[in-house]
Amino acid sequence: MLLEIIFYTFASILICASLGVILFKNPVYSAVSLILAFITTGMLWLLLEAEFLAIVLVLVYVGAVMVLFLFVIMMLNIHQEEERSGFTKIAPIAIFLGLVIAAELIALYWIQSDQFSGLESISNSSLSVDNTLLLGTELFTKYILSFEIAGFILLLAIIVSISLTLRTRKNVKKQIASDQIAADPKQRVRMVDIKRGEN
Amino acid sequence: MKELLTSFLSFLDPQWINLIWSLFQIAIVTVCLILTVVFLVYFERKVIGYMHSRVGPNRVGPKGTLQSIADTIKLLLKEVIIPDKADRFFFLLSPLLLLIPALAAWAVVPFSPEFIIADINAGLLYLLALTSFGVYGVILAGWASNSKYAFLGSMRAAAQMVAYEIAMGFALVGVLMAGGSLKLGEIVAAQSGGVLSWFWIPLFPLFIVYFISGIAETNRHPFDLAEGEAEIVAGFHVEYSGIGFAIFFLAEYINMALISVLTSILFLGGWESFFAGISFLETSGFSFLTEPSLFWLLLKTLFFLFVFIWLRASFPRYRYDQLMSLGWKVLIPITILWIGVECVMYVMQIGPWSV
Repeated sequence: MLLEIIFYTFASILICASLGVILFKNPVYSAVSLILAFITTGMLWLLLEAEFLAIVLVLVYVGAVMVLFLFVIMMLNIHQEEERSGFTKIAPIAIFLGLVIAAELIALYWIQSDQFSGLESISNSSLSVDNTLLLGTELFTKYILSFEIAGFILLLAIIVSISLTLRTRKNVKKQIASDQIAADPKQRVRMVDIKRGEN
Repeated sequence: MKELLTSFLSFLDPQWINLIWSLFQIAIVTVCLILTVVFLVYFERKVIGYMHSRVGPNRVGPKGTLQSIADTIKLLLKEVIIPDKADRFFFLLSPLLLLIPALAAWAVVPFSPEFIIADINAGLLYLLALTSFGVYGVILAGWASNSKYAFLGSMRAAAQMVAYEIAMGFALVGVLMAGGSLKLGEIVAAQSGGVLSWFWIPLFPLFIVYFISGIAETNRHPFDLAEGEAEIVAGFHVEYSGIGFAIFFLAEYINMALISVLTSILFLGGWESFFAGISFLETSGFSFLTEPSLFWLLLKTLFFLFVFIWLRASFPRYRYDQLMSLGWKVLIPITILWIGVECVMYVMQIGPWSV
């Protein structure tokens, strides 16, 4: 009973938030709706006892990605009218794509529902074993190669994005802390004894 | 307590009794936290006062103890001014966006072996997620105020919080490796057995990094660039008055207390006693000194709160580029290096995990 109330509350919040992402005129409002959508998705995953995935979703998307999104939106100060102009043109394509995705999901669920029986057993076994522990052991034993490859690709992406944006400018006055600390006060200050009447 | 509730409300479903029981616990912790903040402010003003060779507040109540209550009443009664061009919705929402995660994070804090609101499996991750939440309150407050100063302040705060979160997360990875669990209760249990088996010795660099990034995360001195008075007036909350400002203030102090309590739990053995493991105390009449209890956790937390205030009274503010280079170029490499060292220690069976 309680579980149903929680589920339907979060599910309806999720739908409203997702609609908000595309319907709000102000891009900041859209971004905040997206954050709300991520959080409620996390809540729904928590109900499925996938606490690791739920918290990581919130941690990565809400904690890091959306902060940068909001940053950019606020900095650019996009005008609301310009943002909305292409909406009617894109809408048919978007609706079509949405229908295709929905059809795919329904097909997956109805036609191959027996494939999901394996998933249920995983969520049941997580009751006794720590969900995070289970994922960790799977990733680092069974799927170690693909995990390492994914990690390597991410590392590559980090290095490439840094090297693309890194500009070393010449003739920039920069603070060098070690030089400052090593400075000898005797060379910096000269004590002068000015005699009276000698100017 | 819970048995009493169960017998009293026996006509209800056990689910609902659990819900009521949780709400009761939440109410207790929240009220205690707010009272703590009230007296923490007084404590801070007194301590800084004495460090500056003045007396601090001494007018309201005996020795000025009621000063914070007077201030709170004043703030509650003040008019809430909403700037003309501000975004009303987010202007009013953003203080709450800062306060709610600050309070919600306390759900997984183990106060004593018996008392913890929600002992969830991924407690450490939950804390990381919740502390990263608070940044939205700051960003949206700055943006919604429609003021250049507030906006600059919120941009600074957000960049700072995102940067220091990484160092914080890596420090927590070290704790997770040493404790062997994401449950905070189990992390404390892994540190049982006296001062020498607490994690602050094998994880000393991570302990320091965690506390420094905690200070930066809460935007406290010497990292309070977000509200640098000299440059940007008061940063992201410059347009807030009355209760709005009070909520920002409350959230900042609750976050301070959270960082202090977490540092004690993760690195200083939480509720474990300072004297645990000293055999002559355990056998003689002083065995109460060696028992784990809430008192020890509060004592350690109070010490870290004092360090927060101490640092505020002692250090000048960092410059923004220095702050960023400290976060990215010093703290993060230290944590990564120490996680490597920890791996070696783990393999060589040196340290607390040599079972």
